[in-house]
Amino acid sequence: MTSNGKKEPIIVCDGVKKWFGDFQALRGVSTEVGEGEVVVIIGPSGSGKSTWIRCINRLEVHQEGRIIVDGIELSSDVRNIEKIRSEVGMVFQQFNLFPHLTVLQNVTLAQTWVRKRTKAEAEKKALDLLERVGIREQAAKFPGQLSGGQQQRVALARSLAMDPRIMLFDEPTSALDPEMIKEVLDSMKELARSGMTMMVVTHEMGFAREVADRVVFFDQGQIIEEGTPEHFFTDPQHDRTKLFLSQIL
Amino acid sequence: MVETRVSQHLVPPEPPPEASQPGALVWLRKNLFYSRGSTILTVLVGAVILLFLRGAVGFLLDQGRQWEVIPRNSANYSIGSYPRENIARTWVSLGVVAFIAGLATAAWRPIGRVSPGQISAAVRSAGIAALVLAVLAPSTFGGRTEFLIAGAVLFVIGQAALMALGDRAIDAFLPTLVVLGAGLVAFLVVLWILPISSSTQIPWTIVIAAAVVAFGVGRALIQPLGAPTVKRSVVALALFALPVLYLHVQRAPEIPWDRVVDWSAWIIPIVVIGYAAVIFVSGAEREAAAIVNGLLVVASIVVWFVSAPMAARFLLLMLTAVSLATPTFGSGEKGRRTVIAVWTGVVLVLMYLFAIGVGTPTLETNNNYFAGINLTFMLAIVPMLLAFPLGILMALGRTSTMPLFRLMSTGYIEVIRGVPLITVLFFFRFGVLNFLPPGLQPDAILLAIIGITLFAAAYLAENIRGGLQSIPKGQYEAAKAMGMTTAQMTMLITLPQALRAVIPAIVGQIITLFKDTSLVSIIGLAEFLRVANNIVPGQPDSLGTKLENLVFAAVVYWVFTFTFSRASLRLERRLGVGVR
Repeated sequence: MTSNGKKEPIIVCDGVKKWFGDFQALRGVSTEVGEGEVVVIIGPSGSGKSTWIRCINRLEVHQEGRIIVDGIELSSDVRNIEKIRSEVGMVFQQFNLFPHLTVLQNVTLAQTWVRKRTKAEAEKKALDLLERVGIREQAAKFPGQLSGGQQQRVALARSLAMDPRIMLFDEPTSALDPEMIKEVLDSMKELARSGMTMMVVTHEMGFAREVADRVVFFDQGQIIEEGTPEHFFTDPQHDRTKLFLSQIL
Repeated sequence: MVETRVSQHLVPPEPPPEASQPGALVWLRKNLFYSRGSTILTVLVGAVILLFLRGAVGFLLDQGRQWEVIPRNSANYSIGSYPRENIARTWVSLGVVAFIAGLATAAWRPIGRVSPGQISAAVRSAGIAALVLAVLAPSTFGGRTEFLIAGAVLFVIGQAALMALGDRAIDAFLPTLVVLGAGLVAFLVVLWILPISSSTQIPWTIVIAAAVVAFGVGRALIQPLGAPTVKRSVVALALFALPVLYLHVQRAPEIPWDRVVDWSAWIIPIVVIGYAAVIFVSGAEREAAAIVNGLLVVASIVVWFVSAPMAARFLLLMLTAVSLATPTFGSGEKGRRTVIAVWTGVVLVLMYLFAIGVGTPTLETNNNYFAGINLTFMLAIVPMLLAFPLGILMALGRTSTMPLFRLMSTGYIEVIRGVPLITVLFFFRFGVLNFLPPGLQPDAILLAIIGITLFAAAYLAENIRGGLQSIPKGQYEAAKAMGMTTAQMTMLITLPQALRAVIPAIVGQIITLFKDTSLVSIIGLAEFLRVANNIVPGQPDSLGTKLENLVFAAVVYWVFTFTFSRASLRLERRLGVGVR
């Protein structure tokens, strides 16, 4: 199924299966994500949605099926996995900033070592991005001195500094106080409007309704239902989806 | 019924209530005599402490004690039986070490501060201590009156200063540097008051002057060069200066130029291949670089099993290390230039160290041209510098996903940790010579250094592994998600955090290592403790002074280890800035 049928797919998943020991986390996930598309993935915890997007930059290794990212298939003999990963940014639930480096160093480190930019280029880029997420004045501080919302925006800037073609978000607001969720979501909305390809695992239904091109409902390691936000929130078809939505809305 | 309440004004913050200073009697009752049981305990423990102090004071201040043997033997303690006509060589090396220490102090500005109130309180405490000593001292002690007077004077000065300072006692701060300078001046005063020969007094004065000058030079260089450059230079200087001092300056070797030239059959090809390899690797794709690196690894192992000069073996080993590390020097033209410079430096330094290392010392002194604190320092500093990279490698090997590395590291660590240091030292002193070719017979000191290095590396590796395991999984994931290679992730993300996490354990390790150097006395080396235990008490004019010398040795060891543990506390606090 091609989403919206309008753009070239940049991510293709075909029958992706994954087991942790005897437990099957993914039971054959097949879908395509077009360039510039914003896909929001919702579903109960433990349903495998995080595992799925972590397979896309190979932080988890799928055992069956095919994943093709930007024309390159991820398989066990994939070369230059670092190259693919540098094209796919990721923002984590727990921020995972590097605590021994300042905010500025967090954002410049991979630019200089992976993208091989000079220090001056990297710092200019970093400061521009910190400006864009609204925390330029915190550049000299250490992550431990920032609030959760600020840390998550640093993490966003850190990923964007690599000029990724795809951004993955793994519950980016789940570890934040309610007052800070908005500042992170605003940065993400701004990013979505700029045309970035995004896959977002979240429980923020407001964000899904406002920003998503497509909403995917995930349960028991598989896609139960997907469609536009209007379809999804007003006219869900599957019983499981209806039950889920009735419990959270 | 719930009443709705809305706050009309926001309450501004207020200062905390003033804490009342409890009086001395209140403090005593709260801490020492708060119950019948605590009173009994306080009295008992106090009596034990008093009796112990009285005994110790009685021993230390007994008129029969000949403390003057220690300044009289200061040369034995410092350098042992080093040829006196060449004594300037040891002073030169001490001067260089002092110079590096001064530079380092300037580069890593000590941020600690001391208030005048703390100094005044310390003076007052010294006075109280002198008074207590005078009162406790047994009847055989002759200097009671002098101690009473000195104690009273110090107490009055300290108390007067505290009262004069009043509230400013804690407000006004002096940088620790001023205190450090005052300490150096005090050391010089003591040096010139005690009955020490002028051949010791003058060089020490110069050494301290070197440290002070180096501090000034360092401060002057930071502005034009930038602090990171100065820091890197200090580290490079320390790494290079120490082997040169110990292998060259102090041994005054005759360099066998014929053997140096003889090496060329092996060395020049290796140097040339080295340039070709690092230039190729710095610009190559990963697969091609991996093939070259693999060939180098194989070659550097094979060369140990064919008859090749030792220098060639080490050079090939270093080439492999440089080639493997090439990605960390950056890419493009800049990276290539850096790696060429690194390889040139490695060749020059290694060849120089080899030339002076194989040279025969011209100062024949029965293998004891290193002794006393000079030897103790070398046995502590050099193995620590060498054990650090080795320990990190072992820790990474043991946590590696490659089974062969893991097996090797684990085997090494478990074997060395299962054996006492004395056994390792005995093996390297007497056993290892059987395995070496006849031409290669390193002296006892070098063997001891190797033994201590390998021993320390195993323990360091376990400490560092503990640090690596404390790094959260998310750090690895974040680094990988940005496309870092495993090497980059280790060098930039996980290892720096792991080392910070285990600073206390590493400091403990260094302190242990410093004290363990005393074990080399059993393989016949005259390090500091052996001087105190055997050599000085064996001098004809110092017979029967073993206790004095052992007490002195204990104090010296304590001063060094205590200084070290204090310094590490500050290091921990400073590095703690970025901790979550």
